[in-house]
Amino acid sequence: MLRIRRIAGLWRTAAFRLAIAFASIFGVGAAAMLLLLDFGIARFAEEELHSALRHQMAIMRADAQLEGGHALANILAEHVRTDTINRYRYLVIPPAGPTFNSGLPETSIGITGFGTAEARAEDLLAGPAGRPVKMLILTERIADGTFMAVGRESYPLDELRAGLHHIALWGSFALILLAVVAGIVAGMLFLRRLERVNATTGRIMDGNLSERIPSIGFGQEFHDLTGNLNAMLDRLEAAMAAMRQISTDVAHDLRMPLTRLRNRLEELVPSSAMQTAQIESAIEEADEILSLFNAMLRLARLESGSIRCDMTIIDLSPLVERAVEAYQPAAEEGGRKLIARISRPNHIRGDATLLNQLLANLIDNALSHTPAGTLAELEVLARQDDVVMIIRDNGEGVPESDLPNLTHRFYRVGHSRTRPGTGLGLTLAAAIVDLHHGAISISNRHPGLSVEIIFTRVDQSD
Amino acid sequence: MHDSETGIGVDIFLLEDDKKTGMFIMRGFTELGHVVDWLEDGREGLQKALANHYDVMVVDRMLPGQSGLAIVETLRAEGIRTPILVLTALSAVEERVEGLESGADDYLGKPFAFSELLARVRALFRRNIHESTPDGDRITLADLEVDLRRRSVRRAGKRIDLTPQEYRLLEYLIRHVGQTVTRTMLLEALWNYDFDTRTNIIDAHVSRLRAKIDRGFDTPLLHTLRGVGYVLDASH
Repeated sequence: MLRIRRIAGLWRTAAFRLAIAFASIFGVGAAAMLLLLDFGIARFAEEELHSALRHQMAIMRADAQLEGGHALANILAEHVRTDTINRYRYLVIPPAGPTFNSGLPETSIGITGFGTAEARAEDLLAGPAGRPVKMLILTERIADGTFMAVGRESYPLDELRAGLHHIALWGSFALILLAVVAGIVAGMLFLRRLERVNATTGRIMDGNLSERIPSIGFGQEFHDLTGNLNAMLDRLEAAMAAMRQISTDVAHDLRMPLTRLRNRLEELVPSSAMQTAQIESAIEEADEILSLFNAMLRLARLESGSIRCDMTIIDLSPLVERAVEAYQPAAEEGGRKLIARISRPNHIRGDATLLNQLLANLIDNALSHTPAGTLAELEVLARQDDVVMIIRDNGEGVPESDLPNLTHRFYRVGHSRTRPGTGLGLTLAAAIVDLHHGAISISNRHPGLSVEIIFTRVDQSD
Repeated sequence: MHDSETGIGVDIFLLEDDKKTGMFIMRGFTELGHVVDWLEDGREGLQKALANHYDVMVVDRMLPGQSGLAIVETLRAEGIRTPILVLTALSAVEERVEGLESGADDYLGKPFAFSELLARVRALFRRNIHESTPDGDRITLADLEVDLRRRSVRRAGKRIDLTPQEYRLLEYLIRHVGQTVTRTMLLEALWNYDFDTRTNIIDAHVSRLRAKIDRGFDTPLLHTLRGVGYVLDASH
C-alpha cells in the first residue's frame, strides 16, 4: 500500500517527470542511432554484393569477348562443376549453341542491369528448401549477341537486415526501459532525500523552529539551496524569538500599570450599590488580563528553560488526588462531576509545583470547555515502564482538525473563542510535560476529549 | 488613626530601592495608620533592621548593596524573629521557594495588588502576636468553637461535621480571624498552589464551608470581600 502510494506520489514529482522526459528523449535518440546504424550496415552489405556481381560479370565479359559466348558457357560449366562452394549462379545464352544455366530463374532474361527475381528453392544449392529464394541478378548483352546473367541469393543480406532490425528494435526498447528505470531510481533517490527535507519542514512548522534541513546532496546547487533555506530559517527563528520576546516584554511591562490601575479601582469609594458592582467587575476584568500576562510570562520562563525545577522522585498519585479534591466543589457547582481513578503509588521524577500547575491546567481545561453535566475523570496508571496520566471527559470533544493545534499558544477552538480563557492552558501543560521529558497526546474519544500524558516510571525499590 | 483590622498601628520596616513601589507601599500603610520606616540601600537597611525593633519587615529581593535574601539570612542568623515578607520582580514559583528557604515568612511577586500586600502583612503581624500569646488548643469566635487538637468544630454547642478540606480551610481562617485572607493566600496555604487557577476553586470551598457553619444561625461569620478575599469575623 505504502509502496503504491509512494510510486503514485513519485509520478507527481517534478524530479520523476523530468527523469521520464529525459529517458524518453534518450530512448528515442538511441533508437534513431540504431536505425541509422542498421541502414548503414545494410547499405554497405548491398554495395558489397553489387560490386561482387559486377566483378563476376567483368570476368564473364572478358571471357565472352575473347572466346565467344559458346566458349564462356563451357568455361562456366567446368567452373561450376569443379568449384563446389561457388555461390554464384550463371546464365549464358549464346547466339548459337546450347544455353548454360546454373540455377537462375528464366525470368532473369527480362532483366536489364541489376534486378531481382525469385528462384525455386530446388534449383539452388543453398537456401531453405521449399520456399522461393530472392536473388539479386546482373545481366548484360555483349556485342556478339550473347546474353549473360550472374546472380546470387540475397538471402544472407535479408537475413542480415532482419537481424539488424531485430537488434535495433529490441535494443531501442531495452535502452528506453533502462532509461525509464534509471529515471525512476534517480527520482526515488531524489524523492527520498526530498522526503527527509519535507519531514523536517513539517516538524519545523509544528513549532520545532530550531531544526534545520538536512543536506540534499547531489551537488553544489542543492548544497547552496539547503544552505540558503537554513539561513532563511535562522532569520525566521530569530524573528519569531524576537516576536515572542516582544509579547513577553509587553506582558511584563504592562503588568505594573495594570496593577496600579487595579489598585486605584480598589481605592475608589463607591456611592451606590451599582457603582460597587461596576468597580468589582472592572477589578475582575483587570485580574483576567493580569492572569493572562502571568500565564505568558510563566510560559516564557518554562520554554526558555530558565525556570528552576526541583526534580525529585515523587509519587504522582497523591498530587492528582489532592488536585481532584481541590477542584471537586467548583466542578460540582458548575454542574459537572470530577472523579479520580488512581492506582498507587506511581513514582516519577518531577517537580511538585510544576506538576500541580500541570494538573490545574488540565482540570481547568476539562471544566471550562465542556457543557454542564459533563463527567471528567482523572486516571493514573502504570503501563510497562511508564506512568500514564489520563484526563478524559464526555463533553463535546474537539474538531479533528483542531487537535494538532491545541497546544499552540493562544489557539482557541472555534466555539470556545467566546468563553473566558487565556488560550495558554494546554500550551503551559505541554511545556511542563516537556520539562519532565514526558509525552502529551490529545485525542477525541467520541464523545469527549482525552489528554494522555506519559512519564517515565521510577522504580521505588531501587 | 488605627487600622480597623489590626486595631493598632504596626511598625513596618520597608527595604525597597524602587521609588515608585516604595512610595506606593509607604502611602498605603501610612493612610491606614501604620508607621513605615523606608530605606533603599541594602547595607544601610541591614544596620537599621538590626538596631531597631519592628513588627513586620517588607524586603525587596533585589537591592543595591546587598541582596534581600542575604539580609533575611543575616537577620535570622542574628536571632531576629520578626516576620519578614520578601518582595520580588521575579514572581515565579521557584523564587518563592528560595525566598522561604532563606528564612522569610512570606513572599510576594511584583506587581501586586495593595490589598494582597496588606492582607499578608496583617497576617504576619497577627501571627506574631498569636505566637507570643499561646492560646492553647482551642480558638473561638462568637459561638463558633474550633478544637485544633481533635479537629472538631462546634457552633452554639452543636457539632458540625466537616470534610478534611473544609476543616483545613476553617482552621486557616480562624487562625487569621478578623483578617482579610486573599485567594492567593489560601491557594498557597491549603493546596500549595503558587499560581492562579482558571477555575475559582476557593469560592466553591468557601461556600460549602459557609453552608455548614453559617446556615441556620443568626450571625453570619464567613464573609466574602469581592475582588479581595474572605474574612471570618463576628462583627462584619
